[in-house]
Amino acid sequence: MPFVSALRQRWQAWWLRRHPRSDTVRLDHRQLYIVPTPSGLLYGVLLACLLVASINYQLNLGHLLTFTLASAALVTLHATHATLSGLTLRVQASAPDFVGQTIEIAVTLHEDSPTRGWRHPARLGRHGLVARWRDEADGTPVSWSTEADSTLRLQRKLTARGRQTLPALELSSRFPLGLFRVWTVWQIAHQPLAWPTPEVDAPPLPHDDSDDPADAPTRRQPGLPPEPGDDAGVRPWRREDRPAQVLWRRSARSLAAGGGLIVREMPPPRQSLELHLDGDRLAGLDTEARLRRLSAWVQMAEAQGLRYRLSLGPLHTEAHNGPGHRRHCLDALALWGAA
Amino acid sequence: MSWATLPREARDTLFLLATIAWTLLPQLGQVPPWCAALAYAALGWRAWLAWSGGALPSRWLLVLALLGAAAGTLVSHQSLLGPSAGVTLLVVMTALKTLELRARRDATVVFYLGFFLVLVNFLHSQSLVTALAMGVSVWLLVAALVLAHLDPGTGRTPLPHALGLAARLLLTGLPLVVALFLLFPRVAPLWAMPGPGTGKTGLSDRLMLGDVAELAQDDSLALRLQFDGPVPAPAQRYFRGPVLSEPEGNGWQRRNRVDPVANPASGTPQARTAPSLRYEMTVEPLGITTLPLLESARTSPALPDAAASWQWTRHAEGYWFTQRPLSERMRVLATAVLDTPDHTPTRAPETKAAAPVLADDPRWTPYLVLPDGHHPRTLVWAEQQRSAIDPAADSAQLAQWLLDHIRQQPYVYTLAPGLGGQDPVDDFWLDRRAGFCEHYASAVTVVLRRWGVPARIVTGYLGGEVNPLNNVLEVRQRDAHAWVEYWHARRGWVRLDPTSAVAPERIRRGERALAPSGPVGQLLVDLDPALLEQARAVWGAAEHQWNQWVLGYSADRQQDLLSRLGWEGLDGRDLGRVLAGGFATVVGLGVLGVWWRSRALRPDPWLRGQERLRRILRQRGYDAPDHLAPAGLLDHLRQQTDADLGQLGTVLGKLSQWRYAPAGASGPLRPLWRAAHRLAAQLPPRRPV
Repeated sequence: MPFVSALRQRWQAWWLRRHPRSDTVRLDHRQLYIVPTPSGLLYGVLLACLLVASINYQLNLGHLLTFTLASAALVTLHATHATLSGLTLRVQASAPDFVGQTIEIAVTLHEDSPTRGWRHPARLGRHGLVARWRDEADGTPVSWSTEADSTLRLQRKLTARGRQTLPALELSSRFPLGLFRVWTVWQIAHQPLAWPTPEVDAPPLPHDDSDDPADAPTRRQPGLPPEPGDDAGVRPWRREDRPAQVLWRRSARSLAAGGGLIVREMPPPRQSLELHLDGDRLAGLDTEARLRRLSAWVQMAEAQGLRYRLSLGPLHTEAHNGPGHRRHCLDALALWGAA
Repeated sequence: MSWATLPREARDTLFLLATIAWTLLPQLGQVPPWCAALAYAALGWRAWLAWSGGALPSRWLLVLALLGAAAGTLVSHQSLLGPSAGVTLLVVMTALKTLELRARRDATVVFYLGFFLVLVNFLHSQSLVTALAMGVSVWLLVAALVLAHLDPGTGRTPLPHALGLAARLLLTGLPLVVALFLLFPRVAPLWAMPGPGTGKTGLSDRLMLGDVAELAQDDSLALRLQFDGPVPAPAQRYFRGPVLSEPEGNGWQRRNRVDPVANPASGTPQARTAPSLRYEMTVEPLGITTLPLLESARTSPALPDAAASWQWTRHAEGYWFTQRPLSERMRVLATAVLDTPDHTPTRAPETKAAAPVLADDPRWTPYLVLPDGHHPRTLVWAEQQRSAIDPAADSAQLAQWLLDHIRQQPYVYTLAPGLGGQDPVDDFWLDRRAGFCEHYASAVTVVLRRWGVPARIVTGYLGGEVNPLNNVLEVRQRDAHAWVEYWHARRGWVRLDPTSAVAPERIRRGERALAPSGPVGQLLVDLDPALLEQARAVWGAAEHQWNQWVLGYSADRQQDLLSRLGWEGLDGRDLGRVLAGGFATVVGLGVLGVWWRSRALRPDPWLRGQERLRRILRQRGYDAPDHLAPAGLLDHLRQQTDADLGQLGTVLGKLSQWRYAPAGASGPLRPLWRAAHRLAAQLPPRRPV
């Protein structure tokens, strides 16, 4: 049906034009949609029944009841709209993480309407707010406090490497009587970055430039004991230790036995040694697999405090070490191949 | 476990249950006892489950209970349809539905059933008390609904918060409620509904000794009158209800067929020029077919609000009646002619000989019949006494003799004469000598008839109280009265109130055997007897206003109000149009306001022009990022094309200057942007890479 698909395209285009991606959105009547809920429609039927009964039994009090409930519905319409109207939403840049991890996207809700002076009587407060990604079924309730800006923390699982385009965020409310549902759709412009997932059980780091990474697993790394077993090279946790040094599995056992965290004793950083993590030499792997291996190696090298540099295709980085360098390398890997 | 430690959900449920229980309260006296018991048992059980956190009963049990309720309804009402059966089922279903309340959102159905219950309560009573109680109900129901949608962690205690929000919600809508109530067209019933079946106690078309005693204790309102002039004296305030002239066992009943030819009423001599009195009266739904009117109403009463289907006929015995019982409150405009001959004590015999009353005259036979085999001792007594009285005495003298007899003998007026013997008239007249108006009227009628004087019992109301606050005469059910009329050859039917002989103050001052009801009433009397009267007066005035403005608000009143506002001759349809037009106007104004606000929220013209330029450039295939100002955009364009951008650059430069010049210092903006747009549109199209 070309006609239908054309129509759908036009609709999509219109929709996107209506909701341009942005990091800040002020909610007013242009962004808010409001329709009666099924319960609201039932309420309409109830009102009709009450009116007919009042007319047929000539009950003036019945008329009064009907009109009271009808007016309450009208006030509710405004009150429901006012739960969202006047809010400013601002997304905070989120820290990148590996694909498969769940990141937190923080959205600040800021009261934009004047809190003093004349207040519309139908403003009954911002309650019953629910935030939901449009591609998920369940939403998370938002608690709004009048004193300060509220921060809404949304969970989102990273699914693919690179910049993630977030689905539209829907913020809705049925407060106060559930007769109407007001909602807004916000296309967040911010794109969180997803690093390639480190390869599980990756081969050890290629120490010698001449080494062939293919037979790397057969060679034991001197001074680097494998994690399980072997008490050599481990010690209790000290305050200055980095989290990356913690041997989590052993720490868990130790904690269960009443001990403390166990960390790997770091070998003195061998400044002389400079790792070259060369993705181009990883023959037999496709691009994504290479990126995952490089990601794993960056993690290992960082854990061992080694200086390393990356190269893959057009990508070349300086040899360095530390969180900044790690972030730089992982970002580069995440964006590898992107325009 | 205490209230504070209960989970929020349980507390909300308990609140809803309390609201439903409160709303069901007026139904207690209306539905069969088993229904009330079942409903409250279900509510109590649900409350216990909420309190203890127990599991809800299985659906099968509820279905079973519902089937049982249906069977019970069938037994109680002989039907599952009809209003009474419907109300019974509604009450049971609402209570049972609460046992299905799992989540707060499930409660929607219960809320809606609750609103229906409120309406059903109005079928039985629309009094101020009911209205206030149900107003509270609506408030609580709305609060419960708000509570169900309130966030759990707002920091404030949810229940008072919800109550406050609900009050605000309802109050905000109040102006609209008033406007709708005043202006919404009042239409006649769309289709005939079966009556709500509210048989009210009141005057009835028959009198069995004991009936009026119950009425005397009924404090509810029957009539309210507003006179054009001063309120007549209490002794003048006889409201004529059904005339009972046909004996029926120990009691009396209304005569249905009266031969108009043999109608003594038509022979009533007209008084010379009797004062007449115009008044407006509000009649409560008394449940009888007779309209009690101030004596005597010759012209048909006008009922401005009643449907045309009410046909009022004057009964030959002098009262106005219709074919169906008064089931709704009515406003009546009537004129009373104060010429009903009242019995005056005369002992001198009539000088002018009047036409003698003959027992076989068909005009008098109906008013001389006595029930067969009843009151034997009274009849014998009457025979004995008659021989002692002057044989030439006329009916007035005989009546006077009876009044004197009542005065001289130890007759007592009491509302609680106790249980009588075999024959209530014999028992009262000869043995106990204690009774109320009904006893006196019955006995006097029996004796008069035995003596050959045509007599009949008139029931109605007497007296009433004038509310000092608004000068409205309030007649209550306990003002129900029964008196006698006897035929006098010259004066016609003469009113004789034998009760006046024993309790004259009841007639003259309109005072009643006032029994304060309940401990509160007793307390008021103990504190200050006047206080009770005062409280009663204030309440009565409030109720009168309520009746006038809320319950009595009808199509007629609406017309009145509109013409006072300057809109004459609007019928219901016009009113509907006016309302629809008003609604459309308000919506239109709202749309205009929204449009105006949208304009205000639009970016300023400079930014709009820039946005348009970007759009044109993009259409030509150029990259035009949002963040670039004109100068930056020009540089960006230079990288993309070799075309001559000189002209565009000049214009954009001017635009930049315009942007940063002091307000009003530069020329008009629009031509600049128009030139920029034109130049941009003339750029060679670029194929995207």
